Parts: sequence; structure tokens; C-alpha cells
Amino acid sequence: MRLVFLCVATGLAGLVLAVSATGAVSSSRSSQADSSTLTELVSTFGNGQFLPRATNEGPANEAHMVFATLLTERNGHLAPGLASSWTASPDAKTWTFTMRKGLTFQNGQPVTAADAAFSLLETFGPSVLKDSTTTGANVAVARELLGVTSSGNTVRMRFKVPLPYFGDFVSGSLAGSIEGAVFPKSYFLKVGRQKFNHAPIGAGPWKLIQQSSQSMKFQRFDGYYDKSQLSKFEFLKVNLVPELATRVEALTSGSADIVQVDTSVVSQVTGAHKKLVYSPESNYIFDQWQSCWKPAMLCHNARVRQALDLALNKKLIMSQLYGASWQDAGWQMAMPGALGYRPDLSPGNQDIAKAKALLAAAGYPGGKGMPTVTINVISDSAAIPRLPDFAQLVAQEWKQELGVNTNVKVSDFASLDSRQGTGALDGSLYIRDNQGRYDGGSFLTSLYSGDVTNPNALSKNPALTSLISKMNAAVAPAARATAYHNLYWAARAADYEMGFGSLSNVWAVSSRVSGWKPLPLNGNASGLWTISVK
Amino acid sequence: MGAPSSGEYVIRVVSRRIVEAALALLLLAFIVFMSAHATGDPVHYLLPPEASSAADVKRLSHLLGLDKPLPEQFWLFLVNAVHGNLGTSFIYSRPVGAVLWEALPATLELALVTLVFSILVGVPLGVLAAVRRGSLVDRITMGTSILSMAAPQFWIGIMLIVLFTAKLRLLPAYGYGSLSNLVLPTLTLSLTIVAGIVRLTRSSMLEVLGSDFVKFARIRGLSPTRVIFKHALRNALIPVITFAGITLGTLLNGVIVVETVFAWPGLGYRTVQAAVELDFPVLQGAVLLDGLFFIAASMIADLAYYVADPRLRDRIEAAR
Repeated sequence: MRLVFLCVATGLAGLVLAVSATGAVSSSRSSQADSSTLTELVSTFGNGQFLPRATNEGPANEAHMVFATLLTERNGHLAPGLASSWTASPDAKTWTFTMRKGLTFQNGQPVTAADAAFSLLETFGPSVLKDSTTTGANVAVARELLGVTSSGNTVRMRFKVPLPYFGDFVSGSLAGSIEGAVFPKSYFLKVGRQKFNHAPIGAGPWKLIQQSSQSMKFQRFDGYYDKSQLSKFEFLKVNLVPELATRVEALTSGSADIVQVDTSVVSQVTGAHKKLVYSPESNYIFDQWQSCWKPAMLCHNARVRQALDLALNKKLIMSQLYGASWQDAGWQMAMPGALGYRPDLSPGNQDIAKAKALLAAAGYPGGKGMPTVTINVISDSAAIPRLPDFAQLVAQEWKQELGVNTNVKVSDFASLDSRQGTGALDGSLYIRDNQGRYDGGSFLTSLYSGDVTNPNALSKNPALTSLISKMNAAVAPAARATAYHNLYWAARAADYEMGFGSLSNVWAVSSRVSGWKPLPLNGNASGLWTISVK
Repeated sequence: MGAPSSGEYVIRVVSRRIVEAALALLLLAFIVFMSAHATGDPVHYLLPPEASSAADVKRLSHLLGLDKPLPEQFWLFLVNAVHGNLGTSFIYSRPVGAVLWEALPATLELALVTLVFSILVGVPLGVLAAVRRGSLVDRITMGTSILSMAAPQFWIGIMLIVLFTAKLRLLPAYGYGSLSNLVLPTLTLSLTIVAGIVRLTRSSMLEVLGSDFVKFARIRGLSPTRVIFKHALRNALIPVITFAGITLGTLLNGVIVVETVFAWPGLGYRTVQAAVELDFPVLQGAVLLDGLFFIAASMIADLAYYVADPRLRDRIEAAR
């Protein structure tokens, strides 16, 4: 009997060790010895789609690596991309793009205006109206599109209505969007939409060479038009590892180089002698009073909203929860790098005396007689941790400073977002995360245009509606920046959103990675060309 | 017409299970359909704020088929499911069958390896504990099994990663495809399962070892090894088979905690993501598949009884 068990145990142990020796040594070697390859771990691949029209839940972050867009964004301004220049008609109904010459796609085919026209039609054309994967701005554009034509080296798009921010739609700068991506027409038609999704070809700085449900491997594409943005390393492996603790341990063991983390593991990462890198202005806490335009809602009273805002010590709350990843600058989407930002747009300072006076003027001195305020907060933000803690701190401050009772309800994002659509959150403060972006025009329109059939609408305030119209009518860049600022300033004063500054995505990197500078307003692992590999 | 033969018995068991399966799956489909719709409307979740007007909601609802009355949606789902079409994922825009099929190999691999490993380790340990009842070996085995069952799988998984990946650099923390990726997930899952098998085998063996036929076998002069393995163990395995059948069904449903910790691309993670993201087609398809797996595991267990328990075969033969 003893012999039997000894044999079984020895056999099993030997099997484990043999397998582990084979697997672990090879995997760690592949990461450490190969200076041409970096390994990145992320928590999600989004909807995993490489189709620019698939704006439903946002295309895979990695799609930004594969595709180059018509325009791009540099230092807060639109800049040439695959198009070397562009013009918008004075009424912003016609946009014309002139393509660069001599460029090729990742499969060697030349990049032409005909490809660009095809790509734009595929992304913004009438067929998207019948595609359930498209839910973003491209749907609105498709409704207004009159036609896309190409001639020689130019592509022209005509719309029924002015679209002054169409340039941003095709710049890849909108959160999660690659709607300006250009891909080869003949290849797309040859393989079909579904196969293209699994084997995409673009003109971006990285070519997708392997893909599974859990990992992607990219190879640097040296034909990319902007040589200054080509990485110094040749291969990038991106692996899906949902669990934060696993990602951190993988970094510690040397089997990963760039790992998506958050502020909850800062001490663990630094304790393991790894470095932290921040993607500035990636996200913000999106707090929104729901349906306050309805007179029956407590938040319909502007004094109540303003009092609750002024009662909060935002610097204390945010610095304690988020440390170095928080910037005390910017108001909601108006982050320092965004269109319309000026330094006067900030979270604001606590003013308890004024808050109490406002609350008393609203009919609730010391919080007496005031109904309980409800905060609905999401529990599962991948970008901003500890949102339930944040909500609790807000509730505590209201109680302590104003005597206001608050009920904090925590739920997952999908559940809360779907309930928002049915009006179930009316009157409450809904707290979730949201990504930073350069041009918040379309987003602001949904919030403040007064179209209350949109459940995200925050107000029917005619002053704000008027500023929305002015914003959407401004075409020249300077005029747009001023119009955006005016809207942000007025929205801040109206206090349908309180604003808590901006937050950075946090990355932990191994000692192989140095010099990395991610781009602002981009939560992905951007700016890879700044990395030097040791 | 006499009693069924062995072959007829097997056919009868399988046929009865298929009918029961159809009814069970119909009920399961109804329950998951209604409960999924009760959790929320995916249209509002899928639409970004800047494209959530009434017209946008109407458009997307129509494209996803969610503007139809619930009974009609359920009927369409059933009709399509019978023809092998489980619909299209709201999130991935791919056929549900393809989404689930992609996750199936990983789930099957982990489930089967874990179960086989657990049986290979758990049964001998349980036998040892029973034969050496009251000894140090018995006490250590029982104590360890209690700890294994009490510890959360998430914690076990992370601790194994800390030890074998971060400290010893022996095994990878995540991934799928090589044998080395299989070790830590299997160990994490099997710790609990081994503990259950050990305890079940031990108690069952103790019962059988005290029975008259075992005493008679000993009196006849049969060796202890022969008594234990040829006579006692076979009878003691019946409850273990039951446990293994239920465990197999559970493992085939995917194990979300282990799949998340080790980035194992199995059905558990897919199913939970579908529930969280209100991806109704994938959720419905996954739950139906889970039901099928449980029914299949139960059928395998029934057939295993037939093989393992000679009394069952004898009863059938006697009735003929």
C-alpha cells in the first residue's frame, strides 16, 4: 500500500515539476531576453472588434494601434493624419480631405483616396443604420450624410446639416472611437466584414499578426506615415488578464512589462521595486443629478445643488482616495488638454458657510425637512477604483456639514445605466466613470440641449440650450474654443454636475521600460514610441 | 415481455434522460429568459449618452429584436435554438454559438484534468485515511481537507500565484495553451474537490470495511490489499461517483473565480460577463449549455453506477 501511494505521489510531483520547468522557464525567458518584445497586460479587450463602425461598447483599444485615421490630434489641436490637409466649408456641411501620397497599408497595398472614401462610407454610410453594432456618433452622422466621393487624391463628404466637429470624429481622439480609420477597400471586400474583424489591415503603427480570445500580438509597421511615432521595439504582446492581483504578480515575476493597475496597488508595486507611469487626464468621476428639470425633484432647486456642491472638500476626498493619479484641474470633461479648457475651470473650493446659507434659502436650514438624497454609484469601474468609497465620503460630508441624510446605493454599471434609461434614477445623484476626450461637443449636446427624450439629459435650462446652439454653430477653431469654454463655465455654475478634477490611468512597468510618456486624454497604453527598452 | 437486458437498460436510461432533459431545458430557458429581462434593458446600456435619443433607442431596440413582446421574443428564441441558432451576441456581434464554442475547449480541458487529478489523489488518500483510521496520517488528511474546503478559491489561487510565480518563478500566473498554464488552475480547483472526495471515500470505506462480507473475505485469508481494492473499494465508490458526477457538471459550467484569477478563457467568465453586460443571447445560450452539461454529467454518473455496482446488474438479470 505504501509503495502504491509513494509511486502515485512521486509521479504526480514529478509531472508538475517537469511541466513547470518547461513552461515557466520558456515564458520568462521570452520576456526577459528578447529586447524586441514587450508584454502588456490589460483588464479588458472591450468588445474585441476591429471594425471602425462597431462603436457599440467601443472598439478594442488595440484597434487604435492597427489603424491610422484621416486626422489626428496633437497638443489639443486637430492635425494631419493620413490626410495631409483638410478643409471645412464655411457652413461646415462639406468636408474635404487631401490624402498623403506614397503610403501603403500593412499588406503592401497603396493607400488611396478611394480607400478612404470606402472606409468613410463603411463607417458613416446608410448601412450603419441597420447595424446593431453601431451606436455612437456615426449613427447621427449617417442620418445626415448626403454622400462621399473621391477624385484624384481628395475625398469629399457632404452633409445635410452643419457638422463643425466632424473633424474630431475622424481624428481618433474621441473616447474609444476609430471612426476615421482608413482600410484597404479591395482587401475588405475580398475577406468580408467578419473575417476583416479577425484579420484587420490598416495603416497604423502596429500590424496585428496573431489573435486569440485572450491575447494579441502586434508587429511594428515601419511604413507608418509618422516615423517619429514608431516604437523602438518590434513586437508587442497584449494579454487579457482580468484580475488585478494576477497582473501585479505577473509583473513582479518578470513575465510582463506593462501592466494596467490602479491606485489600490501603488504600495504593492513600489514595494516590489517597480515603477508607476500615469496616463494623464484619462478619466473623471462623472457625477450627474438625474432629471432635475422635473419640478418634483429635490435637485430641481438650484440652491440645493449648489449647496451640496459647496459643502464638499473635494481636494481632501480626491487626494486621499486617488493620490498622485488625481489632478486638481479641470471640470468634468473640460480637462486641461481638452477644447475649451481654461484654468478657471476647476473643481472649486469648499465653502461651508455659503453652502449652509444656500440650503437655508432653499427651505432646509440645517438639513431639516430635507428628503433623503440618494446616490447611485457603480461598483465595477475598471478605470476608477473605490467609487463606492467616494460616494460614502460625499454622503458623510453632507451629513456632517449640512445635516443632510443620504442613502448610497451600489450596483453594477450595466444595471444602473439601463435603469437610468427607464427613469428609475430620477432625482438621484448618479456617479460613474467617464473617459476624457479632446472634444466633448457631442456629449455636452446630449446633456444640455434640452432634448429630454434622451435619459442622459440633465437640464431644460434655456440659457444652457442657447449656449449649446452657439457651440454647435462655431466653426473656426478659436470661436469653437471660446464657445466651449462659455458652455463649460455656465454648466459649472448650474451645478447639474459637481466636478472633481481629472484622473490618470495608472500603469506599472518593469525595469525594462524607461522613458515612457503616455499621451493625455488617452487612457490606453499610448505613446509607446517614447519607450526605451533595456 | 420480460425485464430489459443490460443493453436495453442503457438505452432506457439514456432515452428517459433525453426526455427529462428536454423538459428541464425548456423550464431553464424560460427562467433565465425572464430573469435576464428583469435585470434591465440592454439598449440603454449599449447606447452612449450622445446617442440615446428616443429615435436611437427605438432603432437599436428594433435591430436587436427587443421591441417585440416578451412571449414573441421567447418563442423566437426557442424556435431558433431548436435549429441550432442561439442568436447573436449584443456585445461581440458574433453568433452566440461561436462565442461559446471558443470557450468550450478551455472549460473541457480544465474540468476533465481537474476531475481526474482529484480522483487520482482523493480516492487513495481517502482509502489510506480509512485504513489507518485514528492515526496521524488520518488526522492530517482530515485536518487538511477541512482547511481546503474552508479556504476561498480566490485566495488559494492568488496565494499559489504568489508562491509559484512571484517567489519561485516556476509557473506562469496566467494564460492558456501550454501544460504549465494548467497546473495552478487545476491545483486551485482540485484542493476543494480532493477534500470532498477524501472525506466521502473515507466515510464510505469505513462503512464498507465494517460490513460482514469484508469480514468474511478476511476470514477466507484474502490479502489486505485484495480485500480493500477488489472488494471494499468498489462498494465504497458509489457515493464518490455521485459526487464526481455533480462536480463534473459544476466544472463544465465553468468556474468564474479561477477563470478570472488565471485569465483562463472558459465558459464561467463568459457567462458572468454576459450577465453583467446584459448580453441576453450569450447568457441564455450559456445557461442552456450549462443545463445540458449537468444533464450529461448526471447521465454519465447513472451509467457509471451500472458499471460499478454489480448488484444493479444482478437485479436486472434476476428479473429476466
